[in-house]
Amino acid sequence: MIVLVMLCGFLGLMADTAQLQYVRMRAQTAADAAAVAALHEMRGGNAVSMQAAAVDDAARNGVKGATIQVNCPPLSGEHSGDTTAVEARIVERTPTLFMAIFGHSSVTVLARAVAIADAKGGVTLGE
Amino acid sequence: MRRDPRKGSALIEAAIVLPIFALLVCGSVDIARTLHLSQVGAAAARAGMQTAFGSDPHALDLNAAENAALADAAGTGFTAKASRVCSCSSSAPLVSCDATACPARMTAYLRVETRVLIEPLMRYPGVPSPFTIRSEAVLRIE
Repeated sequence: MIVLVMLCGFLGLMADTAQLQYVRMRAQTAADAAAVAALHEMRGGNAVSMQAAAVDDAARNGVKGATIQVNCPPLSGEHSGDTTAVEARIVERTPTLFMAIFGHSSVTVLARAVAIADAKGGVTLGE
Repeated sequence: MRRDPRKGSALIEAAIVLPIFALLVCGSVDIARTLHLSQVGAAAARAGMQTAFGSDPHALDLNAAENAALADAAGTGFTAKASRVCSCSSSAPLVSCDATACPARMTAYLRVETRVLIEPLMRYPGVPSPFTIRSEAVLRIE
């Protein structure tokens, strides 16, 4: 019985770790999309729509209900202070599958992306 | 000749524990495969998106995006499809750009979708067998 409980604990840890890696990757893709969407709005002269566009495009990538912060210029990183760049930060609380048994019912996942307007009118993603 | 009663109880214990253990092992393997393939699919979609994003947004290389996604998920049986889709507003659903007649402005997106069909080791109540794991990455290009 003790072995069975230990086995279940390790399996739960494995499943939660894998799930968190997936959530982290999804949040990073959503952060990229949010930063790019906000940058397109800024370039289109719709600065007031930047936040809404970022939230909508994060949702298109599966991140709904998370806290999404859009900063122009970025607050940190190598493009800090660059007014042609937009930073998107996502803070998502995600429930754990099994680790709630051990008192960890949710985990906070962070993702950050910066979209930069290039000279040719394109957009690149940076840090 | 007297039989050892412990042998009988061990057999009963094994009969109770073995199905639970088999369910636990098969369930763990299926959960692990599902989570692993979900990660692989999401990473492949992202890789495809990044490849296409580097090109000119007006001449998106969708084949390159699909190839990048397939290369990222090599050996796992994933299929990849990259497409240019549009939306009438940032919160409206994505539709084909050809069929879109937006009254105001149209926003174009790149969508890279990956799919794989997996056959679980066991049949579980409420879970279709086989089932599809689908991931997508959507990025605004205009």
